[in-house]
Amino acid sequence: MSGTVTFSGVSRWYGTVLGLANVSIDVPHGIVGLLGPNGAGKSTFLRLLTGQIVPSSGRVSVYGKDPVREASVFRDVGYCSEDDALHDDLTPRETVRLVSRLHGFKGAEAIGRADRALALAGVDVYADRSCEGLSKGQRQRTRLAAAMVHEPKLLVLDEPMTGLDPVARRAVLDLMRSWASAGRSVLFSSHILHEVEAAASHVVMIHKGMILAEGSVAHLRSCLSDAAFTLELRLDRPRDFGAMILKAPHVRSVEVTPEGAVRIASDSATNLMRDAVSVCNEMNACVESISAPDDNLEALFKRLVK
Amino acid sequence: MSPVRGSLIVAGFTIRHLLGRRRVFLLFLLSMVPAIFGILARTFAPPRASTGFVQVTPELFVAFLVPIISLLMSSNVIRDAIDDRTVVFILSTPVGRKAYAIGSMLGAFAVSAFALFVAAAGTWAGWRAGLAADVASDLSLLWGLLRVSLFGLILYVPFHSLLGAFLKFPTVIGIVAYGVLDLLFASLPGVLRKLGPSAYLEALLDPSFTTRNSLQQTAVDSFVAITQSEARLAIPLVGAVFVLLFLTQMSRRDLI
Repeated sequence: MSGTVTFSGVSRWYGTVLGLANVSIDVPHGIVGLLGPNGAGKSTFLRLLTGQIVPSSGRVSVYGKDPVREASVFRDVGYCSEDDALHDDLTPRETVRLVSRLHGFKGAEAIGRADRALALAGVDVYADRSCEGLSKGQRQRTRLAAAMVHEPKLLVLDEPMTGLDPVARRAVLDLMRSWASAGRSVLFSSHILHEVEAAASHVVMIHKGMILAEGSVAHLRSCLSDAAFTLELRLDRPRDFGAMILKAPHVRSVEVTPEGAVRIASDSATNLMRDAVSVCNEMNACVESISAPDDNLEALFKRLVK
Repeated sequence: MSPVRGSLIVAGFTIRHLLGRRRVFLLFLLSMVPAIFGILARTFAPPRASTGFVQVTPELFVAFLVPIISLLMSSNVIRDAIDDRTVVFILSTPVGRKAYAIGSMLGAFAVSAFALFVAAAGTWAGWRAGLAADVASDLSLLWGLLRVSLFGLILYVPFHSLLGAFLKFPTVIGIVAYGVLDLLFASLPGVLRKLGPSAYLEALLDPSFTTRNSLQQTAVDSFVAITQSEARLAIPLVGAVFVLLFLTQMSRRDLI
């Protein structure tokens, strides 16, 4: 797919601290999750992308434009920062109308767009209260409405779910999905793995200013196939199963938990999956459940960081 | 979105934002200091000729109110937006950095000019109260004073905006700059007064006004005069340099 955002050899230094190290990446269309722990460089990445800061070296291009020098790029990009920044002397409605006018919309169209964005973000109920008195979640939604008011092709959200209650998180997730289902893109950052896993079709893993891995969730999962892997099964004869699977050379350990589950640690996920199925067939075992604690992005992330 | 329209929207928003701040009341109170002097003078002193307006007012405006009001209005517009990150809000729209910078300056200029207009009108009205002398002559002096004050804003607003955009504590730095340039250099009789912005503004005032310039001119041999033509050239030129520096830096540097 063609890239919406391209970083070519981009580095960013803050004095002697390296924020981003020689990053080259094409961010594709769809919902893209930027994943990394706090201080990994996610916000630096998004600030460079939105032209708030200038790269120390390299080139950032958004839809073919330099976001620092070509403000017209924001016709296609909506940005919601992680900072709790709102003009407290305005109401959400005034805030979003101001942003609508700054996008070049006039009169009734500016008002109509603002009202639609407020409704979409679920802000319409408290749209006429002063921003000063709003909760963190309400302020977050107001900024989200402002980012969506011009219906951009790319919505950039910096930690959009931080500080939100579960209901609000779900609402933001749904909003991202509906945004993408309309053929538009969302690039969001998070340090919470399951959020990224739940929403993103494509993941960029970042750590210490470097891109550790990127690709579709399926692709990243496949990277785990040759990795150390743990499988947990609940079945009728756990000890027999444990004894048989232990014969496989890739199995490192087998443990039967007090709850009666058998937990197998292996050097190879692919081989373990194959052999576990074959042993179950051989034993004619009755399997209640299979779970793979390591079969997620967190495991991959931990592995990459090591 | 044309840059002009973007700048005007930002200017309108800046005006609203500045007028909505609690501190704006203090600024308007500050700008009324000459008016309060005028009222006190009329209340407690015996009626005198209207030349009192000519003797007291210009120095208060040109050497104090214009730089201080400009400093307090302009220096924090962009600084506050950077510090509380609301600048990101506006700069995530097609309004470019330069249009934002120009809009902010225009907004600060408009509010400063309004404050000075209120101050001058208050001062004049206070001084004139109960005075039976010719009103028309004083009125022309008042307009002359306002014109020079607005001229001063052409220099000070870009300078203070520049400080605000790139220094952490622009008001403190601005007060230090004011102390050195306007209070010290502009009051000296020698060549250093050419570094004091308010010395140039004094040179543009009607000669009938009493200023540091007019007092020293007759009393000090080594006095270095600034001519009106020098002032007319230097103020817009230096103001333009500050605008250029401000815009160039705004378009190149990190905003947060």
